[in-house]
Amino acid sequence: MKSLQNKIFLFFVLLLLMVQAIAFWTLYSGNKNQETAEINNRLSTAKTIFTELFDRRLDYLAAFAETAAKDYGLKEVFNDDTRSLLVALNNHRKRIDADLAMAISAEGIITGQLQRYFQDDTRSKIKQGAERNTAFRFADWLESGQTAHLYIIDKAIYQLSLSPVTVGTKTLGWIAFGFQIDQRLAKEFMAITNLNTDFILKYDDMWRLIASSTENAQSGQELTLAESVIQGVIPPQYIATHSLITEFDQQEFGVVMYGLRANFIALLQEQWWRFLILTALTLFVSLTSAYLIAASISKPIKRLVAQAKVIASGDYQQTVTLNDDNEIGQLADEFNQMQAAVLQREEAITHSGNHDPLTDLPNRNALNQTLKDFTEQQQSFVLLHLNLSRLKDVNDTLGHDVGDEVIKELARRLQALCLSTNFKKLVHLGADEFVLLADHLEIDDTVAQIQAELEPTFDYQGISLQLQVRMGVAISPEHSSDAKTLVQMADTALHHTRDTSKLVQIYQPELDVNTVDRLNLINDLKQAIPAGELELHFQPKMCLKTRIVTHAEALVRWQHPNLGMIPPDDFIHIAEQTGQIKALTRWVFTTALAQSNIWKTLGLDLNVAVNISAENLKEADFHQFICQSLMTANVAPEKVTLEVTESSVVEDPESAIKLLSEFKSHGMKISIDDYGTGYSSLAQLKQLPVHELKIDKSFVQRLEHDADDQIIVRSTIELAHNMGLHVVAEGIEDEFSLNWLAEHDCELAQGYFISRPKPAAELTTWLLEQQALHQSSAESKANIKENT
Amino acid sequence: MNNKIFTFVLLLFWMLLSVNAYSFNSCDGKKQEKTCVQISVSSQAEKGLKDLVVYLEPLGWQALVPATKPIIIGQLGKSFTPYISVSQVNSKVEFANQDDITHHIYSAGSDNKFSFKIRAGQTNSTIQFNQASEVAMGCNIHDWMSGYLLLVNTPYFGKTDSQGQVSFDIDKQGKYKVVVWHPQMQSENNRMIKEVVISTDSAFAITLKNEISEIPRQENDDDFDFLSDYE
Repeated sequence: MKSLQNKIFLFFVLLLLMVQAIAFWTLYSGNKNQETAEINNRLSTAKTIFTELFDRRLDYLAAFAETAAKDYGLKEVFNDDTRSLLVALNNHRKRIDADLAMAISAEGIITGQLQRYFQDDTRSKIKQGAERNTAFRFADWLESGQTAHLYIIDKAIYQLSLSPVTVGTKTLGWIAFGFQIDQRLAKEFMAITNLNTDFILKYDDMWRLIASSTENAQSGQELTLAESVIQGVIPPQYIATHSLITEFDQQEFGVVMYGLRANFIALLQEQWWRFLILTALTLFVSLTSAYLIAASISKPIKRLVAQAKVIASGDYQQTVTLNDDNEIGQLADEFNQMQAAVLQREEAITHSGNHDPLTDLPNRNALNQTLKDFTEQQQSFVLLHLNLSRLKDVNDTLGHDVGDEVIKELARRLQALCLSTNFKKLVHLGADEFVLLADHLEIDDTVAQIQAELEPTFDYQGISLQLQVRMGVAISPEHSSDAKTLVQMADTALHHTRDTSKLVQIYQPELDVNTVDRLNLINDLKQAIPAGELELHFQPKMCLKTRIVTHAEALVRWQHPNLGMIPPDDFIHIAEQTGQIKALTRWVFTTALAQSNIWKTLGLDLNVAVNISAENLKEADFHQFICQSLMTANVAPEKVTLEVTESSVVEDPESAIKLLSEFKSHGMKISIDDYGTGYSSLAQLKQLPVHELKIDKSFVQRLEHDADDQIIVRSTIELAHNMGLHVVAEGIEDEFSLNWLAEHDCELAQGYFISRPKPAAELTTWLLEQQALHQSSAESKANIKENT
Repeated sequence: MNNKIFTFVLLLFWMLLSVNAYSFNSCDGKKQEKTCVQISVSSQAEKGLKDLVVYLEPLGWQALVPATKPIIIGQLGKSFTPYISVSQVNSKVEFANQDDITHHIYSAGSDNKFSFKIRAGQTNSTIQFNQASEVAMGCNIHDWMSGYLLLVNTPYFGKTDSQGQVSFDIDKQGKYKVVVWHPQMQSENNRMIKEVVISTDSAFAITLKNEISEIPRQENDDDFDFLSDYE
């Protein structure tokens, strides 16, 4: 409904309706005025006609009376016998068909009176009037010379004209002729004006109906209407006018003319119909035109709208052509230009969406598409995931601009490679990562080709830069024919090169640590503590001087319901990464303390060591937890050792040192685990608030055969002793090592040669045996001493 | 031109006749055996009323010598000339149409009714007036024409002159009824009567009680007289 066409159409419709309404109103009011004017005109005309008619009759009477009075024949008999006079009078009366004729003597006596009486509508009879031989009632009329009068006999009213009969200047008397004012006059008048006519007379202060044009009129009703019209009150359904003649003595004569308003309006109604039909016709024609105009305006716009929809749907091929020079035509041209511009921009966007902005090489999106194509065609190919080594160093030292230049150089060279050899596609995944797709040939050759291409150093503003890449390789369809999996495999292989410091790694399933099992472990570990799947094993540490076990290291074991025993190396790492190390360490600590108390009750005095992860050191409430636990378990801090790896201290030395200092001051022993594998400097070591160093087992295991290890261990022991630290050696697997270490004043020893890590109960038994054995040997020794 | 000369001659002739008529009743050159009676008529407002009829009627006796002189009532200029005529009963009255058109003279409403047509230049003396009465005359053709003829039973009659005087030579002294008459006199029967006894030459003055009404003008009230243009 809100389309332009409808709007224009609506606008036109409103405009036309308004114009029509104004025209109609103008005509209506004009007609209404005309109607009123016509009615008024009609009424005033009727009134004029009546006056005219009335006066004409009087004039006629007057003229006739005057003429008749001059008739010699009449004069001759005027004073003669009555019969002669009456005959002469009647002869004159007949000439104008007067209703009344009178002769009045010079003395004012009525000498002859002839009156017409109607027997019915047509027949009438002339009779002598009753006033004969009586004095004429209006003597003043005779002298005044005024000739026109209203004269009443009984209830009949006449228009009367008097004329003197003279001989020379001598007046013999008067003659008078009259027309009666009756229904005949009313009807005659009605025939002329089409208006009902009533004559009413007021005498004795009362109106009476004299005559009416209406046949068999209800005189009362007629009189009431006439009376109200005389008083100026016209009932709305009538149009009416009136005329009053009041000249004669104390009596009023009124004429009322009226008609039904509807009868007059009816004449005008016909005009109205014609006008209404004309209006409707005009309206129809104008609305049709308006519709056509609106359609002609909106048609090209509709075409543009359709075109816009086509463009929106992504079809840029169709153009719209309008043969208009007007704005719409220009708009169509602009549309086509816009279409071209949009197409261009979209192509640019598509390009940038599929290409790396730095090198303008296809990006991951393009790779996905290509891989999809290749795998669909079941091609065999090699996917090489390349990573530029040491880019971070370049960025850090020479700036990102140089880094970018290096990446570009790499891209250029790899591109050159693509042009010349069996490489199919080069993709820049972003930053320092590229992917090459190559024919499945000998992989070593392929790798060699790449390395040969990258061999020359890249000279950038006088700096020689080595372009070294590490590669992860996945082969389709040998490893997988799924595009995503292939990419992931190559990525895994590349990832592995970082750990192994190799330059090329071909994917092997073993590399894939992120297996489904591993993912399951993460989930299962959450359940492990509450489900009681974890248990603590303890490995004893022996004092080399006394050969008595004085310490035990708590080692966690996971008895997985499906996978069986899982070694800590496999899940500690996961616990650290997934944030579950906190709960794990706390469980280990409290369990170890509990075991310590058990041993205490059995008379076994052991220092319990617990491994603390780097993540634990970051916990805000770790210190509070340790102290709280000690208090709760009522274990002396001196009986607890916290083993911390070198690397965990390296990450954030300051806070680690602060925390460890607090533990140390609290009385606990602090041990540096796996000493020698990390990169801790001696300066750091000096600052660390530790009691002992724990030499990594890799130095201890082959002590017997490796002279270097002996040097390292020996110097480490010396170093530690010089710094006031005790030394623990782990991984003692033979007697030589044990003895060698004892000789070199190592304080504590741990390893399979002494005891494997054992469940608490088993170890307790073993410890009690050892204690007993030791006591007996001590006794025997004592005995020997005593004996010796 | 001829008409005018003719009219002038007629007028001259009529004047001579009039002088004769008046001389009949005048006291000039009166005879010894006759008594001269002089009567002057006036009204309250006006002295010397002209053209009033005055006649003396002997009381108690009759039969005086009838006047034999005929009178002429002319129709001149579509009017009765004179307006008022007076004559003794049975005297000859001659109507003389001095106009160039026909008149239709009539009288109605009295005992002396008559009616006749008189062509231009003709005279008519056929009407016998044998009743003493007032004869109002009109013309059926010219409505405005009006004339009066008073018929009296005495030879002593006359009309006042411009001084309002009239005189009679009477043969016999005695008691007389003096009657003054005029159609416009505002009194009963348009007359005033005075009884006198005449024994010697005497003069009487009569003063009218009411003024004489305006004498109607014998004129066509049309705007133009189309006949005067008609030769």
